Amino acid sequence: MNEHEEREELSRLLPVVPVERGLPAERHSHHKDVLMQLIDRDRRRRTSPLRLPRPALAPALVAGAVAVALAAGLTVGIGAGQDGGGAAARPGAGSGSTGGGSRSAAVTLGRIAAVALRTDVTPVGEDQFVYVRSRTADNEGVFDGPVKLGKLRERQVWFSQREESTIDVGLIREYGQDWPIEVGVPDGTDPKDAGLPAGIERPTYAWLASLPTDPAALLKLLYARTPGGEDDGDRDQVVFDRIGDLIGEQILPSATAAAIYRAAARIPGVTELPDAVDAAGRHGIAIARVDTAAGTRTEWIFDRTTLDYLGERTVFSRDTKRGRKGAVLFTSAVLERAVVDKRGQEPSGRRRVSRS
Amino acid sequence: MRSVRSDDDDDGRLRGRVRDGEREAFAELYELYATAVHHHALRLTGDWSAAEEVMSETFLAAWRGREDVEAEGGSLRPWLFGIATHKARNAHRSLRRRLAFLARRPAEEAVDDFAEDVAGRVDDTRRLAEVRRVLGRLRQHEREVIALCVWGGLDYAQAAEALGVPVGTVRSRLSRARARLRTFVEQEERTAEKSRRGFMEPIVRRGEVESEAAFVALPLQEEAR
Repeated sequence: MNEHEEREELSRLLPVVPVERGLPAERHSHHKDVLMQLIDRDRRRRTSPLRLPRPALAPALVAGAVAVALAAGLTVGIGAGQDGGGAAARPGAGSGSTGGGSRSAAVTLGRIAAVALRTDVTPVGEDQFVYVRSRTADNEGVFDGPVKLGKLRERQVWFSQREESTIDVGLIREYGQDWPIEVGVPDGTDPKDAGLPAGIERPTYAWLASLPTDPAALLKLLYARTPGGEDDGDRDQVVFDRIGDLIGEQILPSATAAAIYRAAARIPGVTELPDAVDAAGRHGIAIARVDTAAGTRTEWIFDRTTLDYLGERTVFSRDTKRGRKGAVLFTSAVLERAVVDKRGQEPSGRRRVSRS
Repeated sequence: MRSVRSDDDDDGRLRGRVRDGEREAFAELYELYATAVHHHALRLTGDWSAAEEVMSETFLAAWRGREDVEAEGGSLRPWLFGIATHKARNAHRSLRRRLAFLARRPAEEAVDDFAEDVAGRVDDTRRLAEVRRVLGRLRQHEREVIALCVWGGLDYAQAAEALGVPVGTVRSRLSRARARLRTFVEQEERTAEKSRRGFMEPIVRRGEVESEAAFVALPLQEEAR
């Protein structure tokens, strides 16, 4: 009796096995999370035995900072970390990984990149300002405590396009008042020496246009220049978040936008979600990454059809002491991008940039 | 996310990356095989939550044992099924660990079924009981080769790889299993015939001798469901 016949006879002798009911989807992804967390933990331990656990999340800090600023009537400060000296100098550093995100995320990011490349973007002049209006809400709970999402509010930002060093980065209009974004000048320092040149900390259109358009080279540069060291936690996540800032509140030259989406596809752990919703209630597909240590997932949301950028959201990817799985920590929806001539000036319709 | 069919295979393309400990390779491995490994564990343990535990532990063990993967070779299915088979063997040994596992499961799971699933679930439960009853007549080694070769779709060489035994051993175990099953089925048919003719009571299933520690955890599991 050959192998085939023997197996045939055996299956006749055996009862039918129930395979219809697999593992519930929720358990399926839970165990995947458990696996990924183990992998991340082991890789961190291997590459950096002294690494500390990641500190509490930024949104809480930002909310706290804004609250303090409200009380004191201060400006929004930026640390004068001029060199942006990133410690990890290559993509996936500390991970031993050479591959990027999931295949479906790569395919979708490729489509998003193709759309971006076809979109005409008028260059922004050095004496102009990039303007972005959005709707947003974030965590207003106490520091490191349970997350409490605040009310939705409007946010407008203006970013200076000056190439040379400046302490005058731009302006945020939020909570019904203006918050100049200024670089802190230490006592006894000439403001000229304390300013921030165009760069990753102060991205301008011209700086963005100067970046490599080869995705691998671009990603390498982003890993090298994004501030923060090995001890800041998941380096891949830090870079993913930095890219999220660039696509969220800047105007990117077409070629840079295309390259940056393709670069994002190479970040380990980047996945695609079939559905996510922005702060304006618009549904779309999402490019996402889970910060396993923090138990959160950051999602960039794109229109399902046009692939335009809609907004960003951060949710808990598992139950944590700060929130249940699925609870939202931060949400935004970009409603308008434009170029204006003056800081604080709201755009007139005709100057608006075509893409969201 | 779970659109990957359980009979999809990596054809060996993931070997190098798994061996190198690449994160995304494990994500892919999981998407490809979690369902298949779960089914395999279900056949071996006859118990849904034990199967879930075996599946989860299989992938964790795969990560830890990634360096054992040969750089060259075919599909990683035999490797994973081999780990799962060993895990399933252990699944019944420690009742305490099982209890701990059940305690960790979120409570709302018990009620998250859709109504239309219930009929399918009852049917599945009946079938699973039947699988348990039949496999209970076999020795553990025989159950394993059946789960691997007949239900798991591995060929004899792959099953040998999974179990770390020569192919001849797989062959002889299967052949013994076949003989035993044939006898069992014939007995059943005779019994059913007699009971139809009213000569004797239908066979009493519960009291049958089942091999080894088979399914000690079952009543517990049903309570928890």
